[in-house]
Amino acid sequence: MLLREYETIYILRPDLAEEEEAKVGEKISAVLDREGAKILKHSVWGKKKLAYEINKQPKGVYVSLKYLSEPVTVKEFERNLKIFDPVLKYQTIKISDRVDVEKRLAEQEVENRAEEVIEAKRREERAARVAAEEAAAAARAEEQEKAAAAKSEENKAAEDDSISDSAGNLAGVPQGEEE
Amino acid sequence: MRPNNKDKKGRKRRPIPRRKVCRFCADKSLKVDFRDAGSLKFFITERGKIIPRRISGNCAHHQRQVSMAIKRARQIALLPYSTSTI
Repeated sequence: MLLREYETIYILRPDLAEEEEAKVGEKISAVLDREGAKILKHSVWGKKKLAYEINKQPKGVYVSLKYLSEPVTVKEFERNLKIFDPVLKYQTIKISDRVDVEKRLAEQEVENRAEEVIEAKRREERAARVAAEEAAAAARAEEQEKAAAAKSEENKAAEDDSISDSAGNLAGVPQGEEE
Repeated sequence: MRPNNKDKKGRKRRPIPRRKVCRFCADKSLKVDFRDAGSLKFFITERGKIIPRRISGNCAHHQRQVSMAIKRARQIALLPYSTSTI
């Protein structure tokens, strides 16, 4: 069977909770399933700053969907996206014409699996880095505590006359407007 | 004295432009992708306009791809249509 391959990117409102986001994503994918499209890949790019405001929103959550379908399906899918409230904007791009479904699905399977391996590796690295950072932070905190303890004893005598004007300096510096 | 950039008949002489090489042709591993706004920034001005081929040095084929990618990126708010006046 030959179908076309499309990619639809849609932007969700940034103020959705994570579960809501997942729910919306499922709902949208369900539309494609119902219309008989074969979803190849569903990937969330995360919250990004928009190059220009859409519906007064400066940020949005980007989600990309790759799928194989008939041209009519795209029309119906886009109609649904238009109705759907949390979707700020969407864009569909045709990636290729006349794709052999079985072959492409198999290809995608391999690709996804490879990506999973990379992702797992990355996660591991991140975890290791976080652990290392935490250890470093703990060590630093300990050191600081020691230093502070030593200092406080030193300062105790001088504290009485220097306590007066520390509160005045806390006011935030007003940020210049962007040009 | 100002440097003489006129020829004998008084016409302005243009500097001979150095032929630029299309970076996408030079490096085959580079791909034009509208999702990659960071590398497309190279081909737009500060104001958000697409930089012409005679300046960017792209070949016709790749300039077409780049401009297409920029237009797509604009549509999905990865790149600005224009930036406000300073």
